[in-house]
Amino acid sequence: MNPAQIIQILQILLVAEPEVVSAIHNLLTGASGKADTDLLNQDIIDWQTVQTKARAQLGL
Amino acid sequence: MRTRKLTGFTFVIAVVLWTQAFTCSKHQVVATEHDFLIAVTAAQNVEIAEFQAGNVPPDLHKQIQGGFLKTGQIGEQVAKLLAANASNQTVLAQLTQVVASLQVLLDEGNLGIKNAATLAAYKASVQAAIDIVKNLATALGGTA
Repeated sequence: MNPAQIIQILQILLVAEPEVVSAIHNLLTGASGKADTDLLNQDIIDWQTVQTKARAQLGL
Repeated sequence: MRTRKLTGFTFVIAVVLWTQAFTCSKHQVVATEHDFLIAVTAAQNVEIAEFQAGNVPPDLHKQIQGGFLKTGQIGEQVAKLLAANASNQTVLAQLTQVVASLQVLLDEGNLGIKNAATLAAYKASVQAAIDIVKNLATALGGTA
């Protein structure tokens, strides 16, 4: 299979399935991974807020 | 030639589907962890509001907030492990601790909150957090 044939197959897939377009886009750009990392980093801060609030209630 | 084309086509589809499935499952785990945080935050806010309304005795309030402190510490650890791409087994071990900690919160509320409406709101919010953690464990291929 030559590169032109691979591209042709990918073109068929891209037209057929929007989810595939999205998945390939995510793979190429790392967008999904970055969004997850950003969310986890924010969640770490928010978990610390839960702790801070609990300590305040405990008078610590 | 036709067989080679078909094999190549199948390979491309398999690779795309596999990568999509991986992306999806990792994202689902992160999304569930976020839901868990939201549920714990909501439960904590319910308890504080009910304490301020005079529906939770001070000693019990401190006991319960001690539980939220512990849950918050483990929750932070879970988020850090997921961010570091830790193994499912490592995360699952933390989730088991989370469920135990939330179960203590549920039991303390059951024993000490006398106001029926307060108890119902509190139980619903803590139970929601427990259910989410169990779903998170299932998404990681285990139980908690």
